[in-house]
Amino acid sequence: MEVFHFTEQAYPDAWKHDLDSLRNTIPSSYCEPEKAREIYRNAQDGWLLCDELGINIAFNEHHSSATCLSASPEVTMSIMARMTNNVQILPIGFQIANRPNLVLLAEQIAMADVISGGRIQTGFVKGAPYELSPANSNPGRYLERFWEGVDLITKALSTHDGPFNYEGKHYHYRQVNVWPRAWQNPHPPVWIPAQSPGSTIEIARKGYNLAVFLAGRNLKKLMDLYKQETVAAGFPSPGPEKFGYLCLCAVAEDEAEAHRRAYDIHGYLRTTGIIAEAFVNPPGYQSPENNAKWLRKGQLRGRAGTFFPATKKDGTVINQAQASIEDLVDANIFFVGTPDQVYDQICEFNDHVGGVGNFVMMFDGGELPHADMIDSIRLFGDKVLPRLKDRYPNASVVQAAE
Amino acid sequence: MPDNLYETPDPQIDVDGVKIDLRVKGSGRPLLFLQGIESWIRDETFSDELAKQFKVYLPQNPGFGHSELPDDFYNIGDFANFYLTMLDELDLRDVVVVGTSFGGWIAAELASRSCERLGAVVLANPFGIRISDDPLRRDIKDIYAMSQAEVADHFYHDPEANRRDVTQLPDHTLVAIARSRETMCLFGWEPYMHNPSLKRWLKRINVPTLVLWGEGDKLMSTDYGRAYAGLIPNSTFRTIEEAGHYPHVERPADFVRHIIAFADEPAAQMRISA
Repeated sequence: MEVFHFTEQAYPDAWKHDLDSLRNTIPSSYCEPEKAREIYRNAQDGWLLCDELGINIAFNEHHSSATCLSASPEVTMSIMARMTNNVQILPIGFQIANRPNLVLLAEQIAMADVISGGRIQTGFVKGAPYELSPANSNPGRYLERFWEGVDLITKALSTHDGPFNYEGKHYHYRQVNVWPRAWQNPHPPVWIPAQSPGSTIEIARKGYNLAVFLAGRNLKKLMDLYKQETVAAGFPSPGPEKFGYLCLCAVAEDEAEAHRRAYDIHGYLRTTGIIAEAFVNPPGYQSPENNAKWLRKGQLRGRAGTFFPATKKDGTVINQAQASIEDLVDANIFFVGTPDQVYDQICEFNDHVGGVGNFVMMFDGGELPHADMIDSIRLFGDKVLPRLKDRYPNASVVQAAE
Repeated sequence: MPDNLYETPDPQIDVDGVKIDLRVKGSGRPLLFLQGIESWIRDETFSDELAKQFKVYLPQNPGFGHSELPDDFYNIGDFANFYLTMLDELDLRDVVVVGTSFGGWIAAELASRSCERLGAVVLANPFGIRISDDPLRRDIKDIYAMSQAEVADHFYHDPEANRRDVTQLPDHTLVAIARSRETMCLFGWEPYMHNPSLKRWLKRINVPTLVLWGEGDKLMSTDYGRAYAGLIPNSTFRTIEEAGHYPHVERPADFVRHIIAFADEPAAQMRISA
């Protein structure tokens, strides 16, 4: 099993200023550069510790937001490619359908892969609806651009015999010739997140790795579907290395302290859905049929996304943004407690869903003090990870894809 | 409040291999009425009144309502060429083309390509051009940065009177609304609700043109409308009071009165007279 430490690098000091939208419209006057610098450096120090402990590194991309300062994952990817020596580096991921130049992105991935000696993994995300506005990215035909973009980037990374022509529906390059060539051949592993059966099927049929965020025990259904579709598409039966699960984690020697840390990290779930209504559902991002359902429900609210469902073991549906830590642990959204407790929770969940090779865990979030994050990561690296590696030895993802 | 909200399917026709919804009313001189995302709101007042003098063609634009959207439609010009093709296929002449909002943009693009089959053009609060040279200034407010309540406030002179409860409408209407919004966004997102070269070509419109302006439009100023008219050689500019972006919805009687008066003027009479 592989574990990644993921952080959005939130800026919680700004949260008090705007209760209606922590994204898109919140002015950057609430951002003190000195404070932002400290947040970046703390996150990077945490990842340097991860490099010593064998915990991989994951980060993402959001824009115009006080919940995530990582506007450019290529910056973090580049820094960590040079500063670390051992672990995998996973931007999960690039919002490619919002990018004007995907060949440049392929070049950046190739550069970082070479600098890191082949430790880059690539996540391509569809991007949340509120991410379109900062890039002025058209919501119409958005998924077409996404899948065409995946094809273009992987082709650009894996072509080594001189320029090729690409004149697709959405992207046009007549001379694609990426230097340097990536360290990994044909290209770094590709992760694509999915929340729905439809997306899962599409990812399976194309043979990419499946990442699922905060699904709890519903992950099993998506994994089973992925396995079925992968085999039907003629690929080998997928092992645990093809699956990633993004969740939250807080460890402490003392259970009560772990729950206190968890409460701070849960600040992520309490705030991530605070978005001005205008940006929640741009026309065309969802299908007309789904939008018809929205219209029927009269979903015209000032804030959106505040209902992230999860299902407890007894079948009760909870809202992740408002649930107690105990309920979130029960629903396998959060893994919280002493090293022994966290180990047991992960094993029970992993055995239930059928083996996830990659746990992408938020050890950070909200207003968690830096020292607590470091302690939590260290405890996990010293006392949980070795036992997980022993128990699940054959699920390394460290391989070039396809 | 309207009694027909596009709750049942319209008749369809095939234009150049594309199936679109098209209602036809009345008889007389042909009038092609192009609308935007408001096309599901069917207060029949304006179309019934127009139908007393004209044979009114009320299509749903490709991608709007339940009309098909060809995969190769690439920009606003495709809508203009599509309707020019439709006029050819139906062999209509001396047509009065009326366009509102996004449909007004299509009408302006259409007329700047060819007036061969047109007798007159009416543009009511049309999108389509950019007046300002200052990149920091908006000519048209950004509806994609507004809540639905704010959108209504900007579109209507009297938003309260025009708040429609859609939650009880059938799927046929709701899917139509969603498709129309999606298609307008696809073609109006960037450059935002305008075509940078349209300003250059509006001078090619060589039939009498009426630019109507609902004065209560809070998306675009009356000066924008006046400037639009100023770019069209043989044009008249008229305002409608107590109407917003959709004067045909808020002031249907005034709207029709203006069109009929305009079409009756000698200049707008049949251009090709024997």
